[in-house]
Amino acid sequence: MSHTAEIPMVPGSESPLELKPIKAVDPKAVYHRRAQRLLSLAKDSPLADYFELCRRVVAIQARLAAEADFGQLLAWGKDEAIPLSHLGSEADSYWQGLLQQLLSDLLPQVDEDMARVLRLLMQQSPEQLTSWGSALRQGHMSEVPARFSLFIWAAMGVYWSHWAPMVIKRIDQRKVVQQNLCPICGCHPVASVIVDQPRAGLRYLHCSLCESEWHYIRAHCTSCGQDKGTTLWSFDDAKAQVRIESCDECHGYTKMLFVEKSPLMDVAADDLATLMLDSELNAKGFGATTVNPLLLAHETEQ
Amino acid sequence: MNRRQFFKLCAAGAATSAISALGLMSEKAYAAVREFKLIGAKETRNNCPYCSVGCGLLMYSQGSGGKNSEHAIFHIEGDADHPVNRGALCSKGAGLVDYVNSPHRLQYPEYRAPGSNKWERISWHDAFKRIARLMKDDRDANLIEKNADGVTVNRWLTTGMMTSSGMANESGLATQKFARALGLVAIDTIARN
Repeated sequence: MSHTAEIPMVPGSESPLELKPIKAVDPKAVYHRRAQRLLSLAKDSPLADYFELCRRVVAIQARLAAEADFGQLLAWGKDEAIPLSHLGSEADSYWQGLLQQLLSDLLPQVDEDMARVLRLLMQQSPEQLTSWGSALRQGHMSEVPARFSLFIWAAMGVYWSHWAPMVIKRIDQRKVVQQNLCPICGCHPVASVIVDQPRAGLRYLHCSLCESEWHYIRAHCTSCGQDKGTTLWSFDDAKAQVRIESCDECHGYTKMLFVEKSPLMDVAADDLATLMLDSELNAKGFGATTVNPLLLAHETEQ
Repeated sequence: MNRRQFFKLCAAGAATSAISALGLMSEKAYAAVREFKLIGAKETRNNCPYCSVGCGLLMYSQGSGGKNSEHAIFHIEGDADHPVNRGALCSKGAGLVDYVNSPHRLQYPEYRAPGSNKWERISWHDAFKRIARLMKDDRDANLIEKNADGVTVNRWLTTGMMTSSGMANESGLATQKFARALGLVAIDTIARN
């Protein structure tokens, strides 16, 4: 029995099998794959309309990630534990610019009801948007109107995921310790991803905001760090490609995607497509410890 | 502000989320649930006992869920986080789940008399008694107390001991003391199997 905080990271060696504590991800590739995955999952989903909306948002994210102006990264905390957690007002004006572009791109693609919501969001003051953005990043989802949160998060995601790979290149990975929030931006993970690189079976947590992936030891709760009672839940097949890891200590859970089994899977899209599994775990008294950028469900306790 | 809060979604799942707020929630969203059978598997980290390398394992077991119910292991894989084997297993390790569930596993002592082709079940008490008897007879007959120079050596060379390779320090020390006290020289572990 041990707590993750007591488990040292193995010192880096030259081996290609050496685990990388943090993996940078190309946001354009992530958004493209996510849009593709949303399209294919929508066919069989009872939430087809919502999947289609998300696909359009993600497709715009992909375009913005490739073309938008991100300025310079000024006030990032190079020596801080979480370098992209406090970026100052510069960052706020850039992501709000991205939000306006995203909304105006989306506007012609939606029906009149949705367009009213988008227009209302476009008219919000920068101060209001700044405070909503900050609340979302800190996990206070319920402080932001649920009809706006998807778009605000999408715009912030484009901004943070643009800078994350550059920051990952510059930080000292040997100082990284096991942690349950993103070591780059401090946000919650979407889910666990079980990869086959650098070696098969490693678990990475995928960030809900900056799309970075950080290593987290298997068979430990990703929320409280304990390994006293972890259970893997799935439908029908005990080795299914999507499972949930629950913890008897804190009664939290994290979804696990075995992408080694199905490389087309995308964390956010496949998490959204398997809400039935969440619903079963909720019924058993477990609560999610993760944030999905395409769902942003409200928290119940803090 | 404590950002390491314990974060929980509403029990209703997507009820208070962007989906419903944007009017795109479907009644059918959870209707499919009943078609599937929910399976829970306990996840346990352990070490392979079959050689002194001590590779890390992740083991998965299922049971009825009751406090005293037996869990049956149905899958064992290499632990990718383990610094020694990094997720890999040798052929012996890869077959672990079949050892565990093998119908040929010994569960109690058996005895086959010299010349017989039949194994018969005996009690642990009888087994220990017989082993002790044979050990003592052999030791009494063959113990070398002094060498050619008259120095006390107490060597028992006609019997060897095969011991476990996956022991903790304490059980290793106890095993060593037991074997050396008897004068055993040939001691090895199942690491060589």
